[in-house]
Amino acid sequence: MRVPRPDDLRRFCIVDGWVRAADAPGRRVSKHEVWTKRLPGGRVLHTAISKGRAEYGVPLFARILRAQLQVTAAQFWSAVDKGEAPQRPGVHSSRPQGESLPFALAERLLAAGLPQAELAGLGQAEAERLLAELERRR
Amino acid sequence: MVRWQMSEARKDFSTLVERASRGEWQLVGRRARAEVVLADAAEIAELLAAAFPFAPEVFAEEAGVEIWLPELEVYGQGSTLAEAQDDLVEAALDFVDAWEAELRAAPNQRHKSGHARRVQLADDRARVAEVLFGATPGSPLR
Repeated sequence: MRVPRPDDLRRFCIVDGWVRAADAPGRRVSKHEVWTKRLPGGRVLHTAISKGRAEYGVPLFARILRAQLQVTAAQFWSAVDKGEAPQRPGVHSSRPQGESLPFALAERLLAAGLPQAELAGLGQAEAERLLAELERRR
Repeated sequence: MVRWQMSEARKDFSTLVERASRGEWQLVGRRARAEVVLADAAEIAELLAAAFPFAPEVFAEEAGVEIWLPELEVYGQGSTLAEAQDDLVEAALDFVDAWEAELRAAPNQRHKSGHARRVQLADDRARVAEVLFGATPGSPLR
């Protein structure tokens, strides 16, 4: 099994649209690169690129793929080698026309202070991002 | 068990801390129900340790060592076991920072709460190592 180097993981994160966590003032400065990716449904993926070794072993790479990146090895290498972003199950699932929000999500957004008019046309991913932001500010 | 109104708790905070450190949980709320609890950190750590054990997995090769922590889904690497442990401590601290900032509200990360809190409560690297690898860091191969 082909195994990656830290540069390959970094390239994957860039191609797949992950966001690198900034070292905010007052926060611990890490030796690792921490990346996160928001998925529909409010899920968030997390990975940290360690520089502890030049490349990854097979068992560890398998766990990184399954648990952290949630892609297959083929999808990973396709992103790294060809720049093709992976499609995860559920990410591009078809939705009926017209955006709707789960009840609990709409309720929490209103409780967090979002005016009702601003719920209109809000997609689920955007609504979840907004909710996280509103709750952080409270 | 004492239940404090928020205004009383604010005025008499040092008493709350003193009692909490003696092992008496102090419940505080704005109305009749408790909203927050002030408790002894060591007791909380002990309760969490019993409920949320860590079981790191070690992959040793000639070229080096890798450790996977299934409970937080993070890893450490190094040319020696000690280096990999140190790297994993760093990764666990990174995870807790990200968890606090963003992950804890995510439905696919919420189940890691108990383990993340254990790392959070261990407030320096040596204690984090103890939480992850047991009381004798340096010999965690299991």
